[in-house]
Amino acid sequence: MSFIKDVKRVLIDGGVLIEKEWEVYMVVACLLARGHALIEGVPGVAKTYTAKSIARLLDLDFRRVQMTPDLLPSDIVGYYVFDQRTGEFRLKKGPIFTNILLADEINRASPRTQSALLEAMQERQATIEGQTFKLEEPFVVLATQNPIEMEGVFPLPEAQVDRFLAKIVTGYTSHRGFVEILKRVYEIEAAIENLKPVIPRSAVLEEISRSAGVRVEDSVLDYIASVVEETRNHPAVKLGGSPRAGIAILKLAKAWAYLDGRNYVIPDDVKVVAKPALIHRIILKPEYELQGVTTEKVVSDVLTKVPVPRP
Amino acid sequence: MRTVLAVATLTVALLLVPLPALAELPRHTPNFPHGVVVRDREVLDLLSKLASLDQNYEQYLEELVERGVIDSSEALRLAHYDTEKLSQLDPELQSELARVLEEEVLIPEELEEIAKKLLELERLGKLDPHSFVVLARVVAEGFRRLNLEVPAQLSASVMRNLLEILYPKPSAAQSAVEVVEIVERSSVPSEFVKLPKQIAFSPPVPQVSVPSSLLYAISLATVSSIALLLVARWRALEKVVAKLVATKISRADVGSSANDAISTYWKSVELVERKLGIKKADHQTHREFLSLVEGIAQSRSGLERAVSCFKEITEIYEISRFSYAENGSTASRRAREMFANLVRSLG
Repeated sequence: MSFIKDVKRVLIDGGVLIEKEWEVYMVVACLLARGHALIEGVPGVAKTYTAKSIARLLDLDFRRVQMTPDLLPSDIVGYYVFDQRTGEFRLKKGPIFTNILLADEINRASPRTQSALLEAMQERQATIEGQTFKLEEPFVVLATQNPIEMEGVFPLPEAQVDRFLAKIVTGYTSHRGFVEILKRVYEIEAAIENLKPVIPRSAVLEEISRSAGVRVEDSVLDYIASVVEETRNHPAVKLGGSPRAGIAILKLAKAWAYLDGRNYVIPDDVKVVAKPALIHRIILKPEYELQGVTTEKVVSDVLTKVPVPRP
Repeated sequence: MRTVLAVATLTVALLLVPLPALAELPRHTPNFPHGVVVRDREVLDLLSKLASLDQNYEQYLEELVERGVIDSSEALRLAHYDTEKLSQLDPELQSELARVLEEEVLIPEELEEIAKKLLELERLGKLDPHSFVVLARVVAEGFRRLNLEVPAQLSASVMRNLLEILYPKPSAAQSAVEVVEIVERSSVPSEFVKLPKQIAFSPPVPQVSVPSSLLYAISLATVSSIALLLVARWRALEKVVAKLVATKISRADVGSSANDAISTYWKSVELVERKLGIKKADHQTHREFLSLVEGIAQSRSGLERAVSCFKEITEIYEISRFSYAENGSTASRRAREMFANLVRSLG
């Protein structure tokens, strides 16, 4: 778990990513929880830099795919090409065969391509021409989507959004942070290119295995269940959290506790991860949505209503 | 704690000061007529019986003579009817009273009319007290023969005249007080006694002097000391009590289970809530509550040590509660130590 300190030291304290500590921690938490993250933010808020930096520091392979409407599933998964020299079909693996895949603007891809990607995410394997290939661990998809553009996009169906472990909403930096970026723009670009791993890939796998062993007391499990169930009772909610949402909270809470240097989960961990784990799974009633109620607000309401374990 | 001490002080004040003060106060009122009041209480009871004008009238007179309240000549004047005086004053009334004396049968209205006339003469001061009492007795006899009750106004006037006979000069200030006290302390119904308004409603203010007895001085000193202690050295007192409590806590037997650390945490929460005036909400985690306490400590001075203790108790609670740690007794002991320190710090 000391690796997160190194990551923080290099990326945050070193000024490579300015005011992105939360995003870095959440991405690493998703990695430890063997989940995928949907990063929502306007263009130019260091989504790609975040993913790339983490991949470099953790000695992981990183690929980026710019999703477009004409992108085919084979462009992601891979395909066989005929090699004229050998007279055989040769496998050309797609960008999905990596450790960290940044699927930029996932809602621009056609539903068919989205489905292919999401299937790979769920099964952690890819099927090409009937042949199944196991994806290398760790495997994390960081899909981004732009919340502003609504034309020429294919919004992800609820069932597919539900497969993302967390939704990380990122935004602009503060004025001070912005000035800092402007001051050190060339330095930051160079620093990202020159990042050296702080932990070998094999150690990352060990960390993932250890974080899964974090203990969760029964009352905390009860608390998680209560939080998820309470989302279903909120008046503004049309569809609340599913059992999968609860599992997502549990996994993220364990990873968060591990990153905090603990081998046990406390209610604070649940509260921290409840928003990223729930906000993309809750569907609001249209009348409330029109009034400006957000899923973040709903989760906040729920967290201020459900009592924490006592004593 | 503050409430308990306040209640204790109040109790001490109630027990120590008023009782001796009440006991001492009358003795220190100059010229208070104790002897007169005690003696005259019995006399007044006898007079009230006399004023009822019943069949034992003569017997009551004899008792008064025996007690030395009146002499035999006075008793004679109160027992016999002086017809000459009345015939000069009001011949008609005299003849009517003669009819009563001769036991003629009169109707109630006639008797009431006689009583009215008698009272009117008394009000105008045309009848001396002795004559009025004797004539009133005659009228009362008439009422009794008709099985009617003697009018209260007649009895009250008789009582007033009897008092005038026994205490002839009530105009002096001290005498007025005596009379008022006598009336208040006697069992005579108030309607029987109608003192002159001037006397009844303007008694002289008693001169209360400071009691000199040792008991009262001690009581006053005790209450004053406690009051001063509460006002000036409240914080110090709290510290002393807190120290005692803390010592008791730290010496208490430490349990072996992690539950002790957990219960210690909740005791700490209660203490912090009470002392800082905050409340841990149900949805608030232990770390959120700690942050709240730390936030308050930043705005108030002198809470650094308490926050440090509470922080450590919170950490111990977290480990004991959620981590399945095997260091139950160690954690409990440390939590208790910190709780004792917290009590000392917060008071």
